[in-house]
Amino acid sequence: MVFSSLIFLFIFLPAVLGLYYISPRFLRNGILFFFSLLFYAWGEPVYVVLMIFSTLVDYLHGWLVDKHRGTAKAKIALISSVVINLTLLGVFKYSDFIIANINAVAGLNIPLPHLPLPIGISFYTFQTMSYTIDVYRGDAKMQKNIISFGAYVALFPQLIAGPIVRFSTVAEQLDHRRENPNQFADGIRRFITGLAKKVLLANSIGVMWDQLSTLDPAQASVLSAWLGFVAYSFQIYFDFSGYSDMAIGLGKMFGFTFLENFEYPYISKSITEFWRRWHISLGTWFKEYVYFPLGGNRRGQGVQLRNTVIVWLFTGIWHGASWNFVLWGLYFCVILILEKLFLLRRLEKAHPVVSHCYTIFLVLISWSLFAFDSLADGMRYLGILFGAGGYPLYNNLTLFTLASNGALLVVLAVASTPLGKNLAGRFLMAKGDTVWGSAVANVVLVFLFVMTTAYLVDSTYNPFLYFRF
Amino acid sequence: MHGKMTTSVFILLLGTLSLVNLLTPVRSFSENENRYLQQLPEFSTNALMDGSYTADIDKFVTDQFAFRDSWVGLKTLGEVALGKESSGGVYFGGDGYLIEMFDTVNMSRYEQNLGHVAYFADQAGERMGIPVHTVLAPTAALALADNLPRFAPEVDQRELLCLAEEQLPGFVDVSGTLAAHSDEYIYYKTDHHWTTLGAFYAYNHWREARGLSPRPLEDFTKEILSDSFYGTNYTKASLYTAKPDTITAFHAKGQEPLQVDYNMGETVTDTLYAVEFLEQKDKYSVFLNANQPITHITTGNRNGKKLMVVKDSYANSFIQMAVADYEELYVVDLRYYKTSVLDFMEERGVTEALVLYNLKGFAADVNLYYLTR
Repeated sequence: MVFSSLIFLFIFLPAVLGLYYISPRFLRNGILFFFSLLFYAWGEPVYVVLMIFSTLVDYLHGWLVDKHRGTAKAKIALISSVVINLTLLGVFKYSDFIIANINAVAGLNIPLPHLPLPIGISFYTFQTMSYTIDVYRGDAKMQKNIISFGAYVALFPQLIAGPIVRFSTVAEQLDHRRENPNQFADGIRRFITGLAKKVLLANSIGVMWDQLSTLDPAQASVLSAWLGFVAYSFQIYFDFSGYSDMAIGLGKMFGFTFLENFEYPYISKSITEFWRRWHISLGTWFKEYVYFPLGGNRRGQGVQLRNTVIVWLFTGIWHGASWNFVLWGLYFCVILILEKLFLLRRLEKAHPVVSHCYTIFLVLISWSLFAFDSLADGMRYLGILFGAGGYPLYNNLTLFTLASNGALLVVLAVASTPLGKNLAGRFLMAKGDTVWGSAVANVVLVFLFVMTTAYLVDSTYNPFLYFRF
Repeated sequence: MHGKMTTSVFILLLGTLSLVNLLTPVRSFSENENRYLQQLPEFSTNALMDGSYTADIDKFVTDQFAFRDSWVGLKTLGEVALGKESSGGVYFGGDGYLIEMFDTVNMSRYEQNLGHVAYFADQAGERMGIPVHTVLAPTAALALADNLPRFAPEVDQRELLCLAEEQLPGFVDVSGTLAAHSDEYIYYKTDHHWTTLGAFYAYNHWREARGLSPRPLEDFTKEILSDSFYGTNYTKASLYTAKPDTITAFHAKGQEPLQVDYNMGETVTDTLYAVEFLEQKDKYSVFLNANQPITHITTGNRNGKKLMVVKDSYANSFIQMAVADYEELYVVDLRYYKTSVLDFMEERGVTEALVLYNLKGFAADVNLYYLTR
């Protein structure tokens, strides 16, 4: 199931909220667990067993780590948990990739298994691993109640698309959270904002990307290609951060506080800053569980370089099982190293507009390694950006696309900055306790919600016009 | 305070919409979309396992959402407010016009089709001495170009028409006469067809190409068939604030009694107008009963002239005038009629032929090959 669907909004959500709040406290984790399983199984009726399996495995391993704390057995349990989870991920996400590469290198012809990718496997395996690791390191106490643990693993707000919630972040909250009305209202606000970002903004600009990325050679132009990447940048940001907003908002409605996953990455003035604002939970996970254990920067520059490259190779491949994603990770790795060595100092001294343009430029180009299934297509598109192929600078289609989407693009640009949040925050601070101030604030929310519903109903609009032509 | 208001408003909103949806009955057919709406799917373990059961329930909830059509219209209004200039392949044109987009053309297919018509005309001339005229009607995007949004990425229809002129000796270019009358009601505002008036101007231009003088408007009695016509563009764009169109019939004086025979005797009637369509959404089909494989019209004229029309739906509103000039007319739609038109013309002693399509449809048509049989 997805948040941006009518069945979630008008059937699932009322049901789970209703049941949750009329139930006594000791039943609440169970309700969350049950509904989360239902939520997941709705889209993944077969592979839901995989997630249950991962849950049982790590519950057991957590128990083993705790029981044998301080001995070698605990370490074995830890390694076993990591190995099992990575194997699960490796088999279901990377088997085609691995086998295809073995075939290419060894000249073999092993058939590819073509296993369908279970939804959210990249997220929940990382979450269950964080449990065993955090318990081993003493950053969190083992969760004795398997239902509560199951609720953590399957928690529907963040199961499908993150943020990746480390166990230590919510360990206390699983057992001791106290829902409160302010937090609930906060959650609603957050959820509706995220919903609007995804349905009204991301989906709309996504249409523009679809059109511009599939142009006939006769219609293509250099500026259209750049516009295309601008559209893609907005689409992926508003889609992903919208989802994170919805996850955080839903979490709040049930008394959970998750960490932020996006901090307005497009205002960054360096790639270093960009990656501190983009998909924060992934960066944190790799930092805590790969970079630091490998020594981080505490074992000299050579080791630090090695650790950085390893983390970025993993970051790249985490995003998808093909070489273009690995290259995407490496692309940023190289830039980050250069920035660390000397570029960052230059950027800090430069005019903020310059460093901002530098960042946006590098991000725009990076999509050529990310937005296309095939590396060849990505490289061809990149070529068009820089004049290859002899396309005109712009044409009528470019202007028409700009005219048609101009207002939307302005909205997207403004929404990529904290301006809206700051204005809303100040308004609520000043007028939130007055009747008309509350009314204004809520009218905006209702408007966003109503428009989102309209867009969602329209999604199956499919008029049949055949006989007319 | 705003927090409490948020919570209560949200619960109220969610609760009301959920309840309303539970209580509204399930619809089976959507007039607006001209399709059957998703019904509650049948359960089967197979369907559950392969995901189709839950996917169908998702579709069911969306298709059956209360006041569906209003929500769809609301979305379009939102897009218009943001300055969007097209939706569903239709421009939001000036003066209330919804104009069909014509932004790509498959040139090789277009040229192939011109070739088929050229061959047909050639054969008709050589074998039977039958003159063949071709009218490729431009779409509203050309004739009403002033109403297009700025920078509309349109195909150059004039270029396509020039190409046709070069390749087809009997080509009749009606774009000029349509442009001359562009401030009149010559195309529907919510549909991709031309109005009867637009077809009338094209008809007169065709008469001139045959060496005849144009007929005055007074030669026809006008009858308003409907003033609540919402056409294809209305549905595609789902801009529900658009005003409806008026459909007018032009009755050619003195060509009664008419006999209209659909599909070799399947249905025989005495009128060109299938008025039952006026009660439905697809009102344009009132002309010649939507698209039939072959229609044979006998008029009250006794001039021995017989016309063969090979056509798409644009011709349906054109024939009303053409009946004034001929004793018999044969109207053929190549999507359904696949036997040799040339042989047919020879058997029936046809004296003239007309190929009449709208330019966009003609360029994409895959059935013109059958003309060469």
